[in-house]
Amino acid sequence: MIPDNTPTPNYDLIKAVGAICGAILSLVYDNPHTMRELLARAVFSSMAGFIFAFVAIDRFGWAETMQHWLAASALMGAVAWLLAGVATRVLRAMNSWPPGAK
Amino acid sequence: MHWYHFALIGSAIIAGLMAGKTPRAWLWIAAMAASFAVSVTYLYLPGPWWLPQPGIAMMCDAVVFLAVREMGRDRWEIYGLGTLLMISVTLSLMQTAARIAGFPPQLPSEVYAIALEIINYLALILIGGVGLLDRIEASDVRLHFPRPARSAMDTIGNFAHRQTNQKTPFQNW
Repeated sequence: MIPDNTPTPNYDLIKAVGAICGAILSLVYDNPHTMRELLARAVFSSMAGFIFAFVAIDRFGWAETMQHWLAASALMGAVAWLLAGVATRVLRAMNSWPPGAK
Repeated sequence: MHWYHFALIGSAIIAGLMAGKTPRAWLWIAAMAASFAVSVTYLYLPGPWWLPQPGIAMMCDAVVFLAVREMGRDRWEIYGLGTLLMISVTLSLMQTAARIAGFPPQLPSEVYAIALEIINYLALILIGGVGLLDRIEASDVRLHFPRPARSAMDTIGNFAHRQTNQKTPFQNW
């Protein structure tokens, strides 16, 4: 049997590139206004894209190829800030429920 | 290189010569040329790569767009050039998603390439047009135009060069 000398792809590198691409995309479509917001969103989106890429892979049932890992991390990086905003609003609403209560 | 690459380079040089007196025009032409060069070079590199070519084009255009939004001041830059670049980013994003995930349906390569070329030419026409207006405004040539044409040029020039006063991160530390 011929040994397979194909180098093992570095999935961490692929996920990092995808997450950074996703973070840049989210900055393109939703303007940050201050440097603090820019840094917070860039760091948060990149980390979330790297960490939660597996969610997209599982959710969409993609095969674990390099391109799918790249797409998954980019997707999660792009939507991470949006999802965090939604979660924050939901938690605030739950915290102030029922209406009028302190 | 093919004839359409040379045509685009020639158009960029002509637009640059027309916009020589317009602030930042050469900067945007250089940035778009660099973006074009990187994405075309990647397309012709040998070997399959794990990042599809539309993804590279998307990221290059996204970086140019962020630069325009950060350093641009006038309406023709933010609303004109910025909008064209955002359309280009969106088109490349859709093509990348189609290549990787199969959704939305993938455009034929020729249609995608022609759409990007059209966007590039529209951006060059915008830069060259604003540059030409600035040149006419700054010279005595404008006196040879009839009054309605001068009025229209003033209106368009004032609109194009009006400041947007947008807040950008690097100005708001």
